[in-house]
Amino acid sequence: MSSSSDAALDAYADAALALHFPALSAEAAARVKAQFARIAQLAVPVLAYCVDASDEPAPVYRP
Amino acid sequence: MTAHDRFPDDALAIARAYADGAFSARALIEATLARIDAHDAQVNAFTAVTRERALIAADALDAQRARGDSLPPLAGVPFAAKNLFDIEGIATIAGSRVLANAPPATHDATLVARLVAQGAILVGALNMDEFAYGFTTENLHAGPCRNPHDLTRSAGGSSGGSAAAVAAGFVPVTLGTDTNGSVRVPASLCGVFGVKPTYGRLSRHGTYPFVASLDHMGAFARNVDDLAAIYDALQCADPLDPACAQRAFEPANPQHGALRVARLGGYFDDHANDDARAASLAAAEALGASQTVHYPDADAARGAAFLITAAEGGQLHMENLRTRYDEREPLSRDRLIAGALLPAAWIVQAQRVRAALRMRVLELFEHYDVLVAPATPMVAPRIGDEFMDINGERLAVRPNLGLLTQPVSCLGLPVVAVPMSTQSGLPIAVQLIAPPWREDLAFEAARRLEAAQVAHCPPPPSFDEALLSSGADA
Repeated sequence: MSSSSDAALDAYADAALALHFPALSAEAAARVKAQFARIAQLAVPVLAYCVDASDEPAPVYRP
Repeated sequence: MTAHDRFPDDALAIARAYADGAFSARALIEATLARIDAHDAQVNAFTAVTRERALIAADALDAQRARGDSLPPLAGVPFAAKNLFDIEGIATIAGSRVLANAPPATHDATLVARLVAQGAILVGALNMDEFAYGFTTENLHAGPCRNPHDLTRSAGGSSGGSAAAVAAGFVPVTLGTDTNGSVRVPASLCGVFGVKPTYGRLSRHGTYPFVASLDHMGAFARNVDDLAAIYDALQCADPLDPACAQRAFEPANPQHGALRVARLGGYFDDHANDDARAASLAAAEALGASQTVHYPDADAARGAAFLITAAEGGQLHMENLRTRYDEREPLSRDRLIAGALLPAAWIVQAQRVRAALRMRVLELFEHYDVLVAPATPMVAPRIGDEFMDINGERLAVRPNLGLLTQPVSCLGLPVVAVPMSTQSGLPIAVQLIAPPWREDLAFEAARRLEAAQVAHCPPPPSFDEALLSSGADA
């Protein structure tokens, strides 16, 4: 990923941590952000995969 | 000495011999408990031994036999279950300190109850990665589960205790679960057979969840007949699990003619070392596979599995990650928190990719009955290893031991993992992957590898020798 997208991921993770885990220590937050960056790398081929409007999400709910 | 000098090692052989009056269930269970007592301190497969319950069940079975009553098909077979399965009377801890003080389960999980109803005798609960998030069973709280074939190495995970207990000869069959590879990875590293059926085939009721949309139930054994018998015994359309398919019983062993088999190349070769590729090639050759094919967008399937897992798992544990962070497993807690932060758009995209790839894999299965691939990139790493080198690429061990299993379970496909030997002397398994609801095809291919003596489940170790060769402390 480019440094600009790295910075965007970092900013996103900071904001999301502030929302969901505001009491997390700075040391733990740094480790979480490293994990977030690794998951973001694995997301690359997923986000690049072309789906069209008829490709519905895998079923997670059955009425 | 092998597992039980006076008793057969295999489940069906035990059931047959018991029905023939060769021994009492009490004698068998006492010997089973004695072997666990003597050697599990080295392996650390068990987190609880249900001694009293097992002896009561054995005495009841002996009384049933003495009365001349008919015996159930698995009468006397000792088994154990990963400690995320509810076992009446003990807390379901799912490998976590967070649940250590949970109240005891009031009922057995559906799958535990299924085996008990067929005469099998539960002897304990088994070690696992915390909340099933891991591939090495390096559990900080319970201690690492050691590979019975080399006590310095990992048993794999997250169902490490389940595979190790079978490999060590403590019990002939165990229950485990597989969200991203947690049956197939430990089966590979410990050299035992494992089945991860189609998503929804086996009931999850009474198990502690990890990723509801990916959680599969499974089992381990030392041979195909035992594994098939246990799989058949576990099947039921359980109304208590909303994901459990309402399907009629479909046995593992119908008769088959020729199988159309292909080997998976590309991603599955790129992420396999020489041992793993050799196993895949040998299995493919033995099954008459003439073609190597590509699994559609395996890296996207793996990525989708990773995203969905992190997000669902992170969300499930959000509250205790906030309030009991220090008690959580250091190897997984930060990854779970990161998962809980993932953008919704990524998760929905992952679910859509998952559905789209399912259709493409079904097209592949129009041409083939079974696909062959390694189960792990390499043989068992040493406990504590941080990295592994695969074809010149340095990869972190813990998140990547499942990189060959995740693309498969992401799509819910049934797999039988078949152990094989390697030049290194340690075992490794191949995945025999079948279309949805066709576990019978994977079992048939496994049976053919076993008959051809290509499959190899190493005998249980003599623990004194294993200890000496590994240099591990008792």
